[in-house]
Amino acid sequence: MSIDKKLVEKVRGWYHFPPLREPEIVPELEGGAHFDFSTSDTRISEKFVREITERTGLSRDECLEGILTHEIGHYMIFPRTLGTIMLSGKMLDDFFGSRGKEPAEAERKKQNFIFQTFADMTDDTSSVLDGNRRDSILKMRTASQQTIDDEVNKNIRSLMLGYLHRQAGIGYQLEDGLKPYLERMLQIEFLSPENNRAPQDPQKLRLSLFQWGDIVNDLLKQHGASGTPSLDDLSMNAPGDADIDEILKNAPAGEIRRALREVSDKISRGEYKQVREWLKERGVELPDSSPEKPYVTIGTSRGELQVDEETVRYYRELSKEYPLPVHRKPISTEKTKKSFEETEKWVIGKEPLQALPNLSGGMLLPGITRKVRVQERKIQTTDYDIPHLLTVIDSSGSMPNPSDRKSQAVLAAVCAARAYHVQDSAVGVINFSGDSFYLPYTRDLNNALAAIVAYQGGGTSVDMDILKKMLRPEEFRLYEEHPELHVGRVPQEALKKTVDLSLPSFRKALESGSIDLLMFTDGGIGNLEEVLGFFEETNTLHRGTIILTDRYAQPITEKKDGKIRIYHIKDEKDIPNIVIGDVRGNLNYHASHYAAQK
Amino acid sequence: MKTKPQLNAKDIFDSLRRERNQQQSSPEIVPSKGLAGLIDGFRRLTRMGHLRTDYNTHCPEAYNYDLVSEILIPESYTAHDVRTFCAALQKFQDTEIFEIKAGVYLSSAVNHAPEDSVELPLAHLRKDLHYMGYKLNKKMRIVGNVGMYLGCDMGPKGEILLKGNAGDMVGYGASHYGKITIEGTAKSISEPAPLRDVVCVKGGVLK
Repeated sequence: MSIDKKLVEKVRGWYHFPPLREPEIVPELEGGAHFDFSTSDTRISEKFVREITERTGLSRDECLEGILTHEIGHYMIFPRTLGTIMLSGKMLDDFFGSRGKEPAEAERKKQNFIFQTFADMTDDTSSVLDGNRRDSILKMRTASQQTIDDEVNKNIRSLMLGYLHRQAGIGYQLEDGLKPYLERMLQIEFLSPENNRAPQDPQKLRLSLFQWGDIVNDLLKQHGASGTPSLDDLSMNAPGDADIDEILKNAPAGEIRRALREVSDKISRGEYKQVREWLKERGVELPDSSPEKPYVTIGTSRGELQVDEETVRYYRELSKEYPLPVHRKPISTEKTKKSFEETEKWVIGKEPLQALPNLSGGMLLPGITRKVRVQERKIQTTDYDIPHLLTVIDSSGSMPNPSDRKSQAVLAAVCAARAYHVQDSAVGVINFSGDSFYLPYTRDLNNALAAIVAYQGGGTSVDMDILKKMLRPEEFRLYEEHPELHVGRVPQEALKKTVDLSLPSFRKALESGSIDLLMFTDGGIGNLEEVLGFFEETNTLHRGTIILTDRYAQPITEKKDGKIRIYHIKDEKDIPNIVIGDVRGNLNYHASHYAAQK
Repeated sequence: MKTKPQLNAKDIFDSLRRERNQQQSSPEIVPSKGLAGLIDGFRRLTRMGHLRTDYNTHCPEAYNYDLVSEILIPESYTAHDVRTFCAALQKFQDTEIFEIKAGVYLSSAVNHAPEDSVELPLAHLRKDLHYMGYKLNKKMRIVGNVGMYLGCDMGPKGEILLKGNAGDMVGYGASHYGKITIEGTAKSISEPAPLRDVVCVKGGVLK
């Protein structure tokens, strides 16, 4: 059995011709039809098509048109990417996982059922809102409704059909018992009203999944004795083609890596960690991206500083979402030049091409014939090159811990480090808190990233006098006796920051080569003015960018013609944009030069 | 006799016609006003910054229960809206002192809901909320773990069934009312414990 090519092209045309292979007709398939996310193949069961056409009178072409519209919709509308499937699976497990109280298989089926039906609703709602696809979907859905025998499934599908008719502006007779559910369904944002696309924001997706899952759960409680829908019914309406575990387990390592990168950009650091743990629990093999050799140990005067590999990996993956274009720029560099200034005796074994036989009667006579002596001399020249990067990062207690939440400063520093590293530049790091440590310039990116991500959390102390005024008396007493029981973080206003930058470290870091400096701090540094003066005087420092989040309102005078740029920012979210803009400006000489002329 | 050369090659573009205008409409979404109000109220609370930053000028505290109840909680909503609101809470998890603000806000929302019993799913949250069930005077069922001060200052009709673990100081406050059943463990019960009826089903502190 085959499928009419014109029909396939017609449906593909509705979706602007996605690059998909021709659908495959198979004799029998659980679920009736499915879109295989691991191979991007569409498969349709012949038995299912025959059953629908025989029982409902729908023509074969109409049936196939409806199925194709629906299945291609999974590729084009929802879930589209493996990252979305991964996130949805995690969210559903958070909301509807029984934590071992229900049998694992039943729980999995229920979550898959919710996911499958949610994906169907998003996909089909998009179709019924489109003039071309509306009829084929509604015909197919109405016909397949008649083939369902399972009561729970029938009620849920009837509700879905009622919702689709409502969205299409067509009347539909829904049972009275299901009408309150329809009202609840209308609250769900299956599609974003702005662009008719599935919600891109994970928060909206989470809320929509919860609202839909809640409805399904209530319907299961109301109509299903076992609380789980029957899966025996072989129809497109039965779950089976959206088994989240199977999809994730069958995905190749490269796809999983891509999906994790996609996910890392959408959710917070803590949630990303949870997603990875959840994948491990589900038996999904995570791509191994641990460095070939361990990170350098970071020693401070207080002892060894642990670097969390997971955190480094998270920021490295996330930084790939912010690539920086890099151009070389003219830099004063020291090079060697070969020159010919004098001659020496030529002997056998020396380069014959450098011999000068014209000085010995046209003959090569060892010990008599002269040869040129090539000398290398150091010269100072201007060459197109990229400076090295010195990243200075404040990791005192007042800065956010990159392990707990997405630190924009760390993200920006990691982006910049990767951009310089890929252009053969070396990256040095000064990580300061109460103590400072200096990672000398290195070409080992893993070590540089580990030094950037490392969090010391020192340099701050609690001002008990201010805290006493801020807390209620009984809360203050509790804090004095058991500081570990204090429910919130100590307010910023009650923290004293006592941090000084280590000038010897800077002297060492800036003593050679041509260097770009990138510094992140929230202020409160005792000797900042002194360090800035040192930067201005240092010849090797090319350009400096200081990003001050201004929590400690530190007044700094910026020299107009100086090479240090200082950004005072209020919202941390602006940091990556400033860094990307500034680094791009630093590195793209022509663009910045042109902009300056304008 | 000369014949005109005939071009036999077919231009594939000839077969294409002008694309039909596609009628496309937007989805009909009827958002719950109660849920939108709850989300909006909490968003405003998160922007209030840390508690008592203006301690010199008698400014209301950001997590003050009365302030939350009077200013931030919307006028009308249902217990179902509060339940759905729990799912929306996740996006605020990285805000300052989320654990306290969310706990006080949820407690206030539950207390002002018209229904006599409310179920809150909290298992999806990364952080354990403090002050859950603060001044509660109705039935509340919580699925997931909670932080400190569970069932603080409860009313006579207050009843909490916790399907998860609790943190320190369960039943903290001056009230002698209420019943707390914990189907899990509790780190500690407030000492001296003014709340008489606290039951831990599994492990932890038994009283």
